[in-house]
Amino acid sequence: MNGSVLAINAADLWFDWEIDTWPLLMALLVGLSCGLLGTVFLVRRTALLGDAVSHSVLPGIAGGLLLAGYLVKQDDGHVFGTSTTMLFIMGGALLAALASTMLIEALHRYSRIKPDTALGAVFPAFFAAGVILIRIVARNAHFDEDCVFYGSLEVIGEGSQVLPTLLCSILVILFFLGFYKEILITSFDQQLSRSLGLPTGLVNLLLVSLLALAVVVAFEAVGAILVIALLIIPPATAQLLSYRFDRVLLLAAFFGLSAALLGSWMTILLETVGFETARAPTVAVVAGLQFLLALTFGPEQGLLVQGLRKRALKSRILEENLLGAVYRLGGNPPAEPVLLEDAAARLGYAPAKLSSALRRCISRGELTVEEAAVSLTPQGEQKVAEIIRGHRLWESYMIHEMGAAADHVHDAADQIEHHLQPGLVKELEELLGNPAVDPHGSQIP
Amino acid sequence: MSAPPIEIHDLTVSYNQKPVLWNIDVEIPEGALVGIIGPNGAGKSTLLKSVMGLLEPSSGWVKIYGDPIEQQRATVGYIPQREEVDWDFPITVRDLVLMGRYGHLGLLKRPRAADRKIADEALEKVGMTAFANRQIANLSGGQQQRIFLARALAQESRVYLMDEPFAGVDATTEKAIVKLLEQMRSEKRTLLVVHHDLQTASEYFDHLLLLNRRLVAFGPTGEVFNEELLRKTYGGHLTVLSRAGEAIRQSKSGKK
Repeated sequence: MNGSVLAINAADLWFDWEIDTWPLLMALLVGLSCGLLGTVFLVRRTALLGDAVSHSVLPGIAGGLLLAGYLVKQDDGHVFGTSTTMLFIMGGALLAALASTMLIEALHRYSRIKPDTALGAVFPAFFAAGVILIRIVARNAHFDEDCVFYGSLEVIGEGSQVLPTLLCSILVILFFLGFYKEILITSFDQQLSRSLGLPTGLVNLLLVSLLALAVVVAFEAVGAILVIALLIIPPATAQLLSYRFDRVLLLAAFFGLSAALLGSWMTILLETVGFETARAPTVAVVAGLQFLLALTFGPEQGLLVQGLRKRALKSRILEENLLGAVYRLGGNPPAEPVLLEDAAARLGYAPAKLSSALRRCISRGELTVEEAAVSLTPQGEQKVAEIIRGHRLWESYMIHEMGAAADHVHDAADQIEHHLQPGLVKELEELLGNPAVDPHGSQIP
Repeated sequence: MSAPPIEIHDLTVSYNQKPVLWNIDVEIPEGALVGIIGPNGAGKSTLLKSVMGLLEPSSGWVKIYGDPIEQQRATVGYIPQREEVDWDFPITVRDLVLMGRYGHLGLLKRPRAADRKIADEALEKVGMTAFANRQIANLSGGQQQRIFLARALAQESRVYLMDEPFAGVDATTEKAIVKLLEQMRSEKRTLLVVHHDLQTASEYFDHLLLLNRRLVAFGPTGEVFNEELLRKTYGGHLTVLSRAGEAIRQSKSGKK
């Protein structure tokens, strides 16, 4: 029989539903609500408000616990999950979050302090007060300090612990369904929103309250630090992929959910091969990987696509320069064939640099080669005429309309000729009255 | 006689306790195309924001057809300066224009097909139909201004307040805006437009409001566009006002 310690049971690689259901559900709900709420704060350019709120709730949590300790006598050893205590914690956290955001707002409105300074001054103060209070509370109640900062999805063992998060997520979804247009307009243009008489202040207040709520219910699961990762990274990933607010919201929710799922699963995988990790950080790492992937492979703004586009532009310019050199060196029709070396010398390139451009021009039927000499086909001639037309029109425009000196315009025209759109060429023609020759006396084809 | 579209009575507005507009008293007649002119820092934008109720006055009041602005929101459309929004915001041109309809929709209501139609017509009026599905970030300054105008048109208001619609736009857009303003005036709408170019001010507007912290003059362009009043508007006789304002700010903010 196989007695090796290294033998891995296939079942270990997958979720063990008895143990993993509740932590997974918790992570999914946190990912979902943080993704949606985070998007709003991200597009409002106040992404760090999530940071501030997630730290500011701490004194509220501690205060709520303290109060609950006095008022609720029975202590069953659990702090989170017991409903009465949880209500105190929620209430305290909500108050602390609202107090800190209002204080930040008031500081910058009624003093000369800038918003970022106000934010940076307020939330560490709240956080520090929270840490001190937590120390006091920790003596009286069973309270895992580490979990406040780093989170511990593993400790969630029953459905009742997920219930507050579930309720919060439902509230968040209802809020977005009901107030979508108000969320959009207040995020884009508060003044317009107020000038239309929309409940701008109410929407702002609800947003901060829901953020506070989401942060508090996420606290035990992912901790104060990692909740920020889920508030900022999935929305940032989503924004790389779409420029429509509704789609960015859906994508952010999707990335929040999938980071939670993949992160949880990866933790199980890593555990199976002997790496003991924690779920919350793994979820955050997955979110970071999603961001990197979107940044690299995004269809519109991705670095890869941008790089490819730049390369394509570079080779198009090279081809157009080659055609131009053959045209200019060939002389007036009937044109003479041109040696590739001569064309390269005119452009200031090594001949080898032109070989791939030459191959592409030949394959498109714009150039033909005979005994190392290159000549334009009729198709190539037509294309080059258009480019040179743009070039010479631009030179005329620079000299006649912009007052540039005749010997200063060629280099600029060399650059611009590759980028002139047909519409702009037409505009130049009309502006200049369809000239037949350029300022240097060359014919405009 | 019916109430005027805009009546401003003894309006004083302050920023951080420092008055920037002093005792403005003016009535804008129905159907007027008014240019607000004055030097930088004269309080032109502040005046518009106060009429919109976006700023709380220190004293005085504004009435729109005899009512406070809160009861006349749908009557007044506001076009802020272009710089006041984030043009990298993830939204398309059409969705931005559609925001002009939000004031007509109730809470929890989504724009309907009729609203979309009005937004598309507004886009067509400013010649931006081809850009409907573009992201707003990829627009030029003139195009941005046009879609702001389209959004205002979609509001279908009787009174419009526009903050520097001509700032940083190309010649074609400027002509298009002027045409649009004239068309709106012919529809008996009342327009208040902050303008910074004296050369064109007398040509574009039938009334002028000369402003420099206080109301220097208001009236038909022919009556108020003269050297004496312009010198009063742009001249440096404001030292007393600014020193008084600074004194009020300092004592109210608890400084010595």
